Amino acid sequence: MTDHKHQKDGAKSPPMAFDPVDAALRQIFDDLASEDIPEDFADLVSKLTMDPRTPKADKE
Amino acid sequence: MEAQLAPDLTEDELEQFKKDMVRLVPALRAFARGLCRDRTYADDLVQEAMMRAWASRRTFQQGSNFRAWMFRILRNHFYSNARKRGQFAVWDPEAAERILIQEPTQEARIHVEDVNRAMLKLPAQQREMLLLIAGAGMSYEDAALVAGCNIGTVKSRLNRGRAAIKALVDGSASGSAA
Repeated sequence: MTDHKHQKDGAKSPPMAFDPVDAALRQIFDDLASEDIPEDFADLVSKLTMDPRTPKADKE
Repeated sequence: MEAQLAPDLTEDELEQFKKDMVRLVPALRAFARGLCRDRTYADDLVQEAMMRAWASRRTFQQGSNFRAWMFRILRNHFYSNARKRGQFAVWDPEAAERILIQEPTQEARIHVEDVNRAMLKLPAQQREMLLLIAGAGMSYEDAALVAGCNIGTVKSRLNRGRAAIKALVDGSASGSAA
């Protein structure tokens, strides 16, 4: 359940010059993203896909 | 005029939708944590966003940017909750400076923890741009989709956020060196 692909294909990238602040932010984000996922996420996905009813449709 | 919903997805499409959503969970959790700075609340935000995305799956245009769509749902839910709770305070850069001076770092160089602390002092709109672009590696275009603004605004918020972080970190470093 990891998503290490940071840049989608075809999307225009911001300038890639090294910036220590950006590097720190990337590390902070990656550290958070690499944390173990609580089991209730898997439970939620199972529940969602088993129940065809939509709880509350928003305009997104 | 009521928007016409597309028919529900096929089984294969539902399966793909679920896979795409699950694949994004780590990044969504990181984004949510960066926004609200609370692990439990961040997970609640992500789970609610997943429920909303699932409920709105028929409005998602196949082939469009699923990642930006999911981030946008999460982001909107965060701001909606924050508004309800009256959580937006006026940002006071002088107060932020004082807080940083009270919490000096031990090293006179840019440190991840210094940046993490400085993020707390930023206005939410600048913080989210740093999270989306520097953190999640999104393009300006995708960040604009997530935040519902134009690319010029994205760049402006990003640049102001970077400058503020640098200023706060530099202030923190010189405070500790003094």
